Amino acid sequence: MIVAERKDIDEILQLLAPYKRVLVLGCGSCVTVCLTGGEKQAEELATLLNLAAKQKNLPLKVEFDCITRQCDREFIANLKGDLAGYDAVLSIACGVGVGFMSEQFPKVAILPGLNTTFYGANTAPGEWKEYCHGCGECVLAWTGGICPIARCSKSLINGTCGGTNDGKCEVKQEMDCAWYLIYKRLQELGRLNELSTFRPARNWSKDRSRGVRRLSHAELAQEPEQEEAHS
Amino acid sequence: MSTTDPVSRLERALAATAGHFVVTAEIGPPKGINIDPVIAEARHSLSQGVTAVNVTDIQTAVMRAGSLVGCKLLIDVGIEPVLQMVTRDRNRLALQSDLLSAYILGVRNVLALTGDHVAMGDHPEAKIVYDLDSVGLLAAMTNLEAGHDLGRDLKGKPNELDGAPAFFKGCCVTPCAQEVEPQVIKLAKKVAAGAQFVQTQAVYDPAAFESFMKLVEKYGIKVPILVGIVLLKNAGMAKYMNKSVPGVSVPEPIIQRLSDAAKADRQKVAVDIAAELVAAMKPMCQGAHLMTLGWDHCVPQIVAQAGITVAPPAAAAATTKPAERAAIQLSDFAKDSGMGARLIDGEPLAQEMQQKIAVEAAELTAKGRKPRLVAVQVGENPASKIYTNMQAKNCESVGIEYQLLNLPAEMMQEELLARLAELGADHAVTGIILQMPLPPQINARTVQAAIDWRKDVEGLHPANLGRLLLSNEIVAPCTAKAAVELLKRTCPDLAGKETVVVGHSEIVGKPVAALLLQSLNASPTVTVCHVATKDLAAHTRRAEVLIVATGVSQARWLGYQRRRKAGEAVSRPDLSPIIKADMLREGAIVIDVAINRIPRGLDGAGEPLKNAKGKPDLVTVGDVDFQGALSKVAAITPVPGGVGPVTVAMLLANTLACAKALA
Ligand code: SF4
Ligand code: SF4
Repeated sequence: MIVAERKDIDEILQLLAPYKRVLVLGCGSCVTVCLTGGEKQAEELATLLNLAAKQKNLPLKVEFDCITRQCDREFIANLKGDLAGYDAVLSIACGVGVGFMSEQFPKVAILPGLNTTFYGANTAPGEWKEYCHGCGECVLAWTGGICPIARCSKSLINGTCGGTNDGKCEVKQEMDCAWYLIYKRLQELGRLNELSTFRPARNWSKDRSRGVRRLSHAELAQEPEQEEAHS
Repeated sequence: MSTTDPVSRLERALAATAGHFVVTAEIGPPKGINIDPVIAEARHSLSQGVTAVNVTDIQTAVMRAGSLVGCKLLIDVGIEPVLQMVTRDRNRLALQSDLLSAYILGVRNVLALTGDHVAMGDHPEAKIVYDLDSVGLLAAMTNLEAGHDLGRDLKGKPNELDGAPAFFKGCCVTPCAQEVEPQVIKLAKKVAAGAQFVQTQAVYDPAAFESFMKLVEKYGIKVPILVGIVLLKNAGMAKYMNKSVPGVSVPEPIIQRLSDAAKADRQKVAVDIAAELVAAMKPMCQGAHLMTLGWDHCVPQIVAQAGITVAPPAAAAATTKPAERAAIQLSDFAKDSGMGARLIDGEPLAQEMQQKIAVEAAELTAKGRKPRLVAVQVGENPASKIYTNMQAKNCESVGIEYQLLNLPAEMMQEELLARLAELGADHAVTGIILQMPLPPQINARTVQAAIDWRKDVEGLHPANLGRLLLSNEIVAPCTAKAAVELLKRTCPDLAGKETVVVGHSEIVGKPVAALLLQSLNASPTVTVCHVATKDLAAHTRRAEVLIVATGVSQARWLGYQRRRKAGEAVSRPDLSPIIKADMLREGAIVIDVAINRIPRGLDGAGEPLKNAKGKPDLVTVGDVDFQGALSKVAAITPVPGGVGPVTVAMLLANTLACAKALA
C-alpha cells in the first residue's frame, strides 16, 4: 500500500490562505489504512481547520467528504456535492489521488493535504515501513525477499557497504542494514551463493530515469491509444 | 587481471616478485581553495618511504575540493597518487568520464569506493546517486580498459573508446566488522570485477586482522592487501571512532595509553601506537595504508619505527608507458649514491682541474707571462662583492693574479669602452671579466663585444662564440663547458645519443648544443627545447641525455615577490621543478644546470614557510625533481654540488687558456 503523512497544519493553512470555502476530501483506500487520509481524518482535519480559522480570525469555512478511491473515475459519482461550489479542495489522498482529481476537475484548485512517502506495510501497531520503491525491475528473487533498492540507504546491489554496523545501517542506528538482513536470510535459506553472484550495473531507466511510466494491457484497450496524461 | 607491464609504481612495488612491504599515505583536499600547503606538506613528508598517496574524494560526505585535482598536483611534485572515487555523487556517465580525465592527467591508481552516505556529512539534504556501487565501478574500469564504456550503440554493440586507459585498480574492505563474512564475500566480488589491491578500513586489533586474513585466504582472494591505520591523535578521537565509525574498534589499552600521555608526548605516543600496529601486522599482509589526517610529518617516523625497509618512493609517478630504458654505458666517474641513480659529483672534477691549472699557471709565470685577470665592476653591489671575493680567492689558489677594478656607477658607456680598450692594450693583462649587473646606461652586449676577444675569459665575445661554432675555440662559456665536461666524463661515448637540452640561453643552452655538435662523427643527436616548445615532456621522455638550464622556479619566485611587493594581485606561483619525474626516461643521464633559490613552500597567505629561526625557509634546487629522478635515471648531478663547482673551475681554465694563447 501507499503510505503518506499529513502535512503540518501551518503549511496547510498557508496553502489555503487565498480561499474561503474549502472541502477536505478523504480517500477510502491506502491512506485510510495508514490512518492519515480516510473519512475520519477528513472530518478531524476539517474541524481542526475551522477551529484554527476561528482562533486566527480567518474567513475560512471548511467542510469534508470522502470517496472510496480518488484515483478511479468510477467513484467520483459518489461525491456528495459539486466540487465547483468550493474555492478549493484539500485532497488527503496520496499524490496519485491529488493528481488524478486535478485532471478530472481542471477548473477546481485541488491541493495536497498529505506528503506521500512510500510503499509500505503495517509492521507493528501504529507503524508502517517501506518495502518497495517501485524500481521497475524487481530483484527480490535473489535477495531473500528483502528489497535492497528500498531498504538499503544506498540502493546497493552487490552486498553490504563498509558502513554496516552490528546489523544496523550507517545512516541511522535504529535502521536495519538491508544487506545484513539479506545475508542472514540467504544464509538461512542456504543460498549464500546468490550473494556471491556479480550483479551488473542496474537499468535505472525502468525506475524514474526515463520519465513518466505507464502500463498498458493491449487486449483491454478500448481506444487505439490514449494520451500519455491519461495513463 | 594484469598480465601486462605494471602501469604504476604502486603496482610494481606490490607485485609478488617485488617482495616489498609497501606503505601508502593519504591526504585530503581542503574545504576551500588553499590546497598548496597540503601539497607542500605531502611533498615534504611523503616523498620518501611512501610508494603512493591517496587523495580522498569528498570524504565522509563533507564538501571539499576534489580528488582529481589533488592527484594532479601530487603528480606535478613527483608523488604518485591514488585517486579515490566514490559512487555517491556521480552517475555512470560522470564516473567514466572522470576516469578518462584522470588517465589523461597521468593518474594510474584508482581506489573504488561506495562512499559514506550524505546523511553522515555536512549536506544531508543532497540527492544521493549510487548509480553504480563499488563493484559496478570496478567493472566499469575493467570495461574501459578493454576499450568500451557501459553504453551501447544503436545496434546494441558496446561503444568503442578512442584510446583505452589502463589502471591499477583498488578497493576497500572492513576487516573488523562485527559480521565479517559478508565483507569478505563482497571483497571476492570486487576482485572478480577487477580489483588488484586492497586498502583496508582502520585496524587496531591484530588478532581480528589475522582471522580476517584467514577468511580472505579461504575465499581464495589473492590480491595484495595493505592494512589501514588511522593515526589516533588523542583518546577523544579513539573514543569517537569507537562510537561513530562502523567496523572500527580501538581496544581499551590503546585508549588508556593515549589518555595517560602528557600533552607534549601525545604525538610520540600516537606514532608509537601506529608503528607497533604496523610492525605487528606486517607479517600478515603486503603493506600498510597510513591515514594520518593531516599529520603527514608523522609518516616517516612511523615507517622507520615499524622497521620497514624503504620501498620505491612515491616520487616519480610512472605515468607514462615507460619508454624503453636508455641503454647508456657509464664510466665509473659517477659514483653509486645508494639512492638508486649514480651521483655526478662536480667537486672531484673541479679539484682535478684546479690542480692542473695551478701547474700550468706556474709554468707560465716562470716564463714571465703570469696570468692576470682583471674584473671590471661598474657600481657597488653587495651580492657581486661576495662573488668577486670568491673569484679572488679561487684565482690566488691556482696562482692567477686577480685585480678588481671598481668603476663609478654613473660612468658613461663611452668611458667604459675606453677603459676596456686600455685593458686590451695592456700586455700585463691576460684576462678581462665584466661583472654583472651593469648600470642601466650601459648596454651589456655592446660592452661585451668591446673586450679584446683574446682576453674574454667568459667566452661570450662574438669572435669566441663564432670560433665555438667552427670548433676551434680557445674558450667557451663556463657553465656550458662545465655541463658538457661532466657529461663526457660520465658517458664518454655520446655518439648518436638522444640528447635533449632544455633552455636556449646564450650562456648555456646554445653553447651546450654547439659544444655537443663539434665532433664530425661522434656527436650526440641534439634537440634544443625552449619556451615555445609545444610538448616538452614528449621530448624529455625520449632523452637518453637530458641537460636542463631554465631556472624557471627561481624566475617565478622573483616575479611573484616583485609583483606582490608592487601590490599587484598575483596568483600563487608553481615553484615545482619544471622537469617532473614522469618526464624522465628510465636509465637516462641528467645534467641539471639550474640553481634555484626558492622557499620550501608557501603558507596559506602565500608567504614562504619559515624555518626554526622564523626566516624564510629557502632551499637550493635545480630544474629537475631530484628525489623522483633518483629511482628512475642512471645518473644525475646534484644541486648544489654538481655543475656549480665545475663552472667555477671552468672560469679559471678559460683564464689560463687566454693567457697561454697570448703568450
Ligand atoms: S526490487 Fe524494485 S520492485 Fe522489487 S521490491 Fe525493490 S523496489 Fe520494489
Ligand atoms: S549500511 Fe547496509 S543498508 Fe545502510 S547503506 Fe550500507 S549496505 Fe545499505
